[in-house]
Amino acid sequence: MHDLTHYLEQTFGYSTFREGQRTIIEDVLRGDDVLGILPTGTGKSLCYQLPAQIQEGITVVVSPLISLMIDQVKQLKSQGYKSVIALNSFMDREQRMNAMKNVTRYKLIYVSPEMLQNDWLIERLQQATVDLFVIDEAHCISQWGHEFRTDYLKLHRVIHQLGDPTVLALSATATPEVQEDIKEKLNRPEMKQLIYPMDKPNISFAVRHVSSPGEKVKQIKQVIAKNDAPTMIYFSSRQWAERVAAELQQIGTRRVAFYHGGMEQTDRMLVQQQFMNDQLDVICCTSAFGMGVDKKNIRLVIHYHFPAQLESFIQEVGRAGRDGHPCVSLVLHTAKDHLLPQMLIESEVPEKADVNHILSHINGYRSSNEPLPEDELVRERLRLSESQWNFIKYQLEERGVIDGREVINKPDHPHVVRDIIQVVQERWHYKQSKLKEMIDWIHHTECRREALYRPFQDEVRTPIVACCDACSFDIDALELSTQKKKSSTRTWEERLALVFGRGGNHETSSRNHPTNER
Amino acid sequence: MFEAILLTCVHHIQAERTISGIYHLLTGKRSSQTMQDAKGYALEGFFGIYKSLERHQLDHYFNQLEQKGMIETNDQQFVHLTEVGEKGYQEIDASAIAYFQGLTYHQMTPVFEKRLLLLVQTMTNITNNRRSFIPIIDDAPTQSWVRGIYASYQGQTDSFVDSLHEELHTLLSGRTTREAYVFSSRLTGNGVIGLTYEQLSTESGLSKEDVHLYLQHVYHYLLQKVRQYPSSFPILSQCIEGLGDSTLITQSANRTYYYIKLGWTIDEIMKKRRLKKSTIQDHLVEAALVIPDFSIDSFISIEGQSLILSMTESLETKRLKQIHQGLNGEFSYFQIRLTLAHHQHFSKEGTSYA
Ligand SMILES: Nc1ncnc2c1ncn2[C@@H]1O[C@H](COP(=O)(O)OP(=O)(O)OP(=O)(O)O)[C@@H](O)[C@H]1O
Ligand SMILES: [Mg+2]
Ligand SMILES: [Zn+2]
Repeated sequence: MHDLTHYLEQTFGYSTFREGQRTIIEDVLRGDDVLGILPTGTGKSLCYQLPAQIQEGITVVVSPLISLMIDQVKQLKSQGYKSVIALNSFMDREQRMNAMKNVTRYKLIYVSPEMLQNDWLIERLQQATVDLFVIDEAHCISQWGHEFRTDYLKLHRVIHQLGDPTVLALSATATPEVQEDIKEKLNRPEMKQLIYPMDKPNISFAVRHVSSPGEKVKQIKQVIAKNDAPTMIYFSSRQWAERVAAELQQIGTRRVAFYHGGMEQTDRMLVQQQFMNDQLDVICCTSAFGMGVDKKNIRLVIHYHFPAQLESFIQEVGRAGRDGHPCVSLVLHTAKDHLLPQMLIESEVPEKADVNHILSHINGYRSSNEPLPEDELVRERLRLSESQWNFIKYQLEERGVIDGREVINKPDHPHVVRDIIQVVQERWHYKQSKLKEMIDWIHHTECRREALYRPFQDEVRTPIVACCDACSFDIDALELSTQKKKSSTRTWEERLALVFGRGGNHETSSRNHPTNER
Repeated sequence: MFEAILLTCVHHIQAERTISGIYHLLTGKRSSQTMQDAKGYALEGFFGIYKSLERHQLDHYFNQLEQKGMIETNDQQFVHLTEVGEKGYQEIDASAIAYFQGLTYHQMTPVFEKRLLLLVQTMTNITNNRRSFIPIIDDAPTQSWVRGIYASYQGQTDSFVDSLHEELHTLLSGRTTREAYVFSSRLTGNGVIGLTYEQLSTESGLSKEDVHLYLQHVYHYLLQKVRQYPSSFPILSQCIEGLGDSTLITQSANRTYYYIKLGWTIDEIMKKRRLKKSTIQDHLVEAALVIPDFSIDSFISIEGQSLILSMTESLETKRLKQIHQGLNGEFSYFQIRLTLAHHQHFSKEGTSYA
C-alpha cells in the first residue's frame, strides 16, 4: 500500500487528511467505483488529485463549469503541480489542437462534458491508459439534481470507450433519490457509496421577513455596521448586485464590490483576488461567484434573493466558515420574492403548451430534407432559452428523432409528443416542488438546522454555535469582528513602491495566504 | 477626457459623419471606411483607443453634450459643434490627449499592458517571497512570455524589480499625478491586488470611461517614450519586443493591391476574388490612403484629379456628395474618393483639418 500521508505532505503540504478523504482515496486506488458525498469545501478535489499523482495512467475529471476548471488548474499550478490541463471551449482552435495532440503527456485532465463528445479526443485518450474517471459535481447527472445537464447523461458511454476505468463520482449535495439516479445513469449499480454528513456545526441560521427591497438594504446596512467581517451577499440578478453594492459603498466604512458574469475578465479576476486577499469586506455577487472560491474566513453569508432549491442554498452557505470558526447565514425575504425564482424556472423548462409547436417546426426540416441549423438560430426561431432548447434536443436524441443535426424520424408522432409533454410536466412539477421546499424552509417556525439537513442525512449534529432563530440565535446581538489591513489613500509614488515591495511600511498579508507556501 | 476626445472628433469631422462613424473610430473597426476617416480627418490618434466601448455609453455622452448645447445633429444625423461647443473645444488642454497614437499602437497596447501587468505581479511576488499566487492575466502567450523573462533573470530578480520600478517611476513622473495614480493603482504585485475600473472610478472621482482613457493614454505615452529612448528603459523595451506597428492596410485590401500591381483590371479581380465591385473599390481607396507611391492615374486622369482637388478647395469640404454635384456628376464617387485619398499624402491640406 502507498504511504498516503507521505504523498499528501509532499504534494500538497498538508499533514493530515480531512474526514472521508483517506477512505475514498484508498478505495479508488484499490479499483473500487465510488460515489462520494462530502460537504462543500471539505476537499473533494484532493480525492482525485492525489490518486492522479500516484497512479501511472491518466485521470480524467469531468467538471460542469469552465471557470471552475480553470481555477482549479491555476491553483494546482501555483502549488507546483504541473502536468495538469483544462480542455475547454474557451481555448482557441490552435491551443486546443495542441493540447489534444499532447493529451497523453498529462496526468490530470479536466474536461467539459461537451468536449468528451469529440471523437478525436476520445481516440487520443484511448491511446493512453485512463486509470481513473472522475465526475465532479455529479448531481448534474440526475434529472432530480439541481443543475441537470443533458451532456452528463452520455458519460457512461464515454467511460466504456475509455476501457472502463475506475469511476469516482463526487457531489456536495445529493439526496438519496439523486444518489440512486447517479448510479443508474452511470451504469454502475454496484458503486460504493460513501456519504458524509453535510451539516455545518459552526453556522447559525436566521431569516428576516421584511416589507420591501428598501427594507432589505436597511437590514444589510445594520448588520454589516455591527459586524466587521468578510461577508458575501447573494443576488439572483446582476443589476441588483450592482445597485446594492453602490448603496453599501455610500456608508464608507466598508470596502464593497460587486461581482457577476457580465464583468470584464481582468476586473473579475481582480475582484475575486481582492476578496481572497482581504482587500474587500463585502462582495455583492450572483451565483457566478463562489464556485471555486475558497476563502477560509467568510463569516457572514446573506441572501438578498434566495435560490430556487435547498441544494443550492446549502452550497452557498457552505462558503462560510471554512476555517471552522463561527459563521452566520441570513436570508432576507419579502412576500414577493418567490416571483423571481418562478421566472427562472419558466426560462429553464419549455412550456407544455409550446411542445406541439416546437415539434412541428422541427418536422419542417425533415420534410424539406434540411439539417437543423445552428443551435442559436433554432433557439431564436422558436424563442427558446438555451436550457429549454437543450432539454428538447436531448429528449429528441434519446427518442431517436434526431441524430446530430439530422432529423431522422418524425418528431410529431403522437407518442413522441405525449412522452415529451409528460417529461416536461414532470420536470416542471419537480422544479416547483423544489422551490416550494425552499420557501417552506423560509417560513419554517421550528429548528431550521433540522429542517435544512434532515432530507440529506439521518443525524444532525449539535452545533457548536447558537443554532438558529427558532432556537436561540439572535442576529441583532451578533457582533463579529476581524482585524484587518489598514488601507489609506496614498500618493501614486507610495502605491507604486508598495506594489514593488520597496515601500517602507508595507503591510503583510500572511494571515489569509495559502498555507502551502514552501 | 472622454468629452475632450469627442469634441475633438466632432470638430474635425464638421458635420460630415454620424455618431456611428466616431464609434467605429474609437472602437477601432478595421474597415476601409473607418481607416479612411481616421486619416482623412486627421483623427488617427484616436483609432481603437476604446475597443470595449459600448454604443450606449457613447450615446449617453453625446446626449449630455447635446443638453449642454455643445453639439447639434442635423437631419442627416451628422454631428457638428455649436458655438458653445467650439469654445469648449478651444479650451481643451492639448497635452492631456497629446500622446494618443491609436492607429500605430492599437494592436500593440493590449499585449504590452498584459505583459507588464503579469510581469510586475510575478517578479514582485517572487522577490518578496510569495511563491504561490494566482496570475491575474489568464492567457497562455502572455504567461509563457513572462516565464521566459523570469528564466533569463533568475538569480537577479531583486535588481530586476528595482530597475523596473525605477523605469516606471521615471516615466510616470512625466505625467499628471492623476494619470500616474490611476496607472499605479491598477497594478498588482507584492500581495497587493490592483483596482478594477469601477474602483478606480470611485477612488478618483472620474467616470469609468475616463479611467479607461487615462490608462490608455499612459500606455501610449509609455510606448512612445520607450521606443524613443530604448537604452534608458531596457526592461520596458523588452516588454515591446516582437510587437510591430499595426499594418495600416487590411489584409483583404492588400491582396487587391497586389493584383493591381500585377496589372489586373478591377473586373478581373472581381471575378478572381468573387467580390463586389464596390468592395474592390474600397480596397483601392484604402491602398491609396496608406501607400503614397500607388499611382491612381489609370483610374482617373491627371486633369480629372486636379479638377476634383480644386473643387474640394473651393467648397472647403470633403463631403463627396457636394464635390460630385459641384462637378456636375462628371466623376464617379470612386474617382473622387481615390483622388482625395491619394493626394492627402502631398497636400499640407491633409493636416490642416487637425
Ligand atoms: N487534508 C487537507 N488538509 C488541509 N486542507 C485541505 C485538505 N484537503 C483539502 N484542503 C483544502 O480545502 C479547500 C477546499 O477543497 P476543495 O475545493 O477540494 O473542496 P470541495 O469539497 O471540492 O468544495 P466544493 O463543494 O466547493 O467544490 C482547498 O483549499 C484545499 O486545499
Ligand atoms: Mg469541488
Ligand atoms: Zn435550531
